[in-house]
Amino acid sequence: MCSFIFYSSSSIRCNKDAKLSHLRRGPDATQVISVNGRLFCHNLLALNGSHTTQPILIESKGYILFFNGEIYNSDVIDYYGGNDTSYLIDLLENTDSIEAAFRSLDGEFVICVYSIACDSLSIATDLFRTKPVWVAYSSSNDEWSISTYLSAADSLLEAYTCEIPGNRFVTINFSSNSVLENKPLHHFNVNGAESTFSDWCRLFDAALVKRAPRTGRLLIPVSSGFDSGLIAYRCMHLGLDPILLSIIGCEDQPVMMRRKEQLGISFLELSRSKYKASLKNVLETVEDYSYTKHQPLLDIASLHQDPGAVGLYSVLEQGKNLGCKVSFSGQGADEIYSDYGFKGKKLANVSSLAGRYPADMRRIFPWKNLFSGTQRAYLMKDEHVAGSLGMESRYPFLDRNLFMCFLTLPAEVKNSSYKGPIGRWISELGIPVAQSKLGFSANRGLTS
Amino acid sequence: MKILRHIMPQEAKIAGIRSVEKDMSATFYDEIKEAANTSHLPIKPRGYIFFQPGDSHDPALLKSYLSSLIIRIGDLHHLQNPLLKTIDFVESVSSLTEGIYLNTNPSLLPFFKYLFPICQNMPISELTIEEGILNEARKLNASASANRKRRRIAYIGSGNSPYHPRRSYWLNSLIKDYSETIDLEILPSMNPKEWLHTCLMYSSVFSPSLNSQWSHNLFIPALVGTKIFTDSQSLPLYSYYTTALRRKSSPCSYASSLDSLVKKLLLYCDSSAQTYHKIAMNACAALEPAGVTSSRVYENPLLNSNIPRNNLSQKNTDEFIRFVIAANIFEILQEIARIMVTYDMFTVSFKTSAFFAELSTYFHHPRLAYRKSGESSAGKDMAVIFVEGKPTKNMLPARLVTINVDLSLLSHRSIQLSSRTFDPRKISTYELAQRMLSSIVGNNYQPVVFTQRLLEIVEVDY
Repeated sequence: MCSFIFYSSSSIRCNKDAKLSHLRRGPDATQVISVNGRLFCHNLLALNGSHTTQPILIESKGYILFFNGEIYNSDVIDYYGGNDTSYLIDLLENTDSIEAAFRSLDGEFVICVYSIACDSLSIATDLFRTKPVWVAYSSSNDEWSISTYLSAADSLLEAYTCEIPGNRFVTINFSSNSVLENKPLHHFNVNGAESTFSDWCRLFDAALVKRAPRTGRLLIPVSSGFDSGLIAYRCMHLGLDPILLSIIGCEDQPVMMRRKEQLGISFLELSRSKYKASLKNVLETVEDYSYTKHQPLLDIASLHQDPGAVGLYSVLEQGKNLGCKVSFSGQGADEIYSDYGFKGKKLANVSSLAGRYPADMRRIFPWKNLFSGTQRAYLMKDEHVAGSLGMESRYPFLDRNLFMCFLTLPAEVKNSSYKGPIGRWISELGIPVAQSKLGFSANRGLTS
Repeated sequence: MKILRHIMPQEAKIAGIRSVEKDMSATFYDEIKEAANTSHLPIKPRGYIFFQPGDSHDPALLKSYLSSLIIRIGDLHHLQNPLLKTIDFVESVSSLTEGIYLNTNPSLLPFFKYLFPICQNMPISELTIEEGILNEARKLNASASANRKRRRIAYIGSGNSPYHPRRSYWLNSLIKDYSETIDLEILPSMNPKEWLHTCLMYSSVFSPSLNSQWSHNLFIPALVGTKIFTDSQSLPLYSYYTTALRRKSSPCSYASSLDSLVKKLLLYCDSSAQTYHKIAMNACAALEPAGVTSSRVYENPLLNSNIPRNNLSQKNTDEFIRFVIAANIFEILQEIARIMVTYDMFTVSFKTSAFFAELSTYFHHPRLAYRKSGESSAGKDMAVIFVEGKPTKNMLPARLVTINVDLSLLSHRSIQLSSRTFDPRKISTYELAQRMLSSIVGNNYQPVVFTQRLLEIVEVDY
């Protein structure tokens, strides 16, 4: 993860807590740039040996570039040795409009480009807005803040705040204090040419491979369920050599024992005292996030009240101690492939589809939890927790190509198994899996 | 009726040929000095001063002679120690005036307003926008003749002014390399009314900033809907157009580099017709609330908002001392940007945090990027600032100067001017940049260089 804070006035001072939470997310290099009275701060998490400090001045265009996330366009690997920063610089230098450059990107990102000549900041988010970004505006003194975490907006007086949703292209002009553009980055063809189950499998593997870290080990927190199970088994098959960690107390134990035999999963024992220590760390170092703002039907109101956040923190912390900087998350599988239901039966009260997908997807697109709802809430749990540890969370199930493929799968593929293609592939590969949905609750089965 | 007198410094070499505003009687400062010493006037006149560093005015004398005083400050961009001299001047007159208006780049306002809350911005000079000119523009727009324009790009003024090397470089590059594709027409200087009628005949003008200041020539084309091409140093002229209009017809286009200017001009030459009439009505409407104040001063409230206020009770505090040092550093940076025109951008890197906050908050310049990468553990008593030219098609990246400030010597004495100067001609790449400039503007072209005196505490390594 990286983090950034933009203030429309260099005179705005970031408070200590906001500074720290942003710094934890990008612990390897901090740079502050000021141009024309605007302030740009970027904290970098260096995932490769060499890194380019941001914000970056692209003098030929008069741009200042800073971003959070990873670009997966094939050219990044083929021609830039995995250096997505160099790729972005060249792309912006050689593309006439910022919007056109953003539209060509595949990845998990929030990218910001400030044009010195126009005094405006263009922001693009990926399809599911995997990376957090907040905009705050104070009308009392015409000040703006655009930042990774909401806490940076505390420095503004009586500011109106909002998150930029996924798949957006937004341009804000600071001379006139106006939003010049606010539109989707991509348009969907929900009923496009029909894809097949094997297309989906191929794209799933591709989504894993392109997200694998170039240096260092990959961490996969594994449960006894479908999503992390499929990720773990395919990563092993593809030779990505992940470190697999699980808190066994929360999971279906027979399934986990079989997975341990087959994959070599390490079990993390979570005692009551360890849980308490992790909870303390979560409360002190992880920025809170309201779940119920996006999905009022959730029982847990916010990240700080979520035992799952404590469990995730414990697993990621252990992974970090083992040298991992990148972790794969199964986030999005529930929201996209089942919406917490199966064959018309709701498995959780947040479900709106009850796992039933019509032949004409336009009828339901987009359902509540697809981009908002639990998607937003749980994505931000992953982001905030991993960010507090200076780790990067990546989301294979939120791959754009994979998602587009799912949309155009025949309805029978979507509906015949629990979680459609995920369930079918789990079954075909003979992966042991818990048949009932347990959810990730780290305070279950604690040892004394 | 009270008469507003324009008070001019008779002996000031730089200001000697300044023209006097229409309907405004002029008085030389020396005449006031003589009158003040010899007689007491029954009715005291109101006074109006256009101040630029180099002008000499005795505030005490002005106070005894005038009933009220308005000061406009401008042309701070190419003189020796313009900021330090302006601080001195404003400090001495701020309690005597009705208003101090900065007719400079708006980016300097935060600094002056912080030190002297009485300062305001005056983006539209009454030298340019005469009292009747807004009405005349409105009449011309109403006749819709603005929609019958020639698709040519007009430029007004000198093509090789030694005071404005960047403008000369850009203009002559366009003439030399793009005369086949960009239809540019060079026009002689003219008064605002003539310029208004001339703009009516052109679809667009090329009007770069004067170093880091707004060009007076920018305001007239806005009034009749003529599209403006300028450089990023003219920001934020956008305030005159509505958001919707800007999105639709981009009435004002800013370029960060010569390359981007050329691309914008070429694209424009190929693009469809502009909605001149709308642009013009919009600019007139935006200027409407500004109007003419009782003091004959135009102002735009948009540009005066959001300015930090000072809480300095005494001017000899550490904070004031740091501000003065930052101003001296900015004088160096500004002169580098003015002279080294073949670089588009400069990075100013701070080895420690010292002066980053002051410079980034109060001394804005679109071609200067202040950069701080974290505090170094050693040398906290020294502020070390590297100035680098960013590479362009013709220039390699280069470290231009290093500015050092010994923080252990911080005192009121340290902000006295020394006999040492910063001379941009000592920069290692100056000769190279100068050769390139001459090859474009003309073999005999020599930009005027203003050495900047350094404070006792400030040192420059080349």
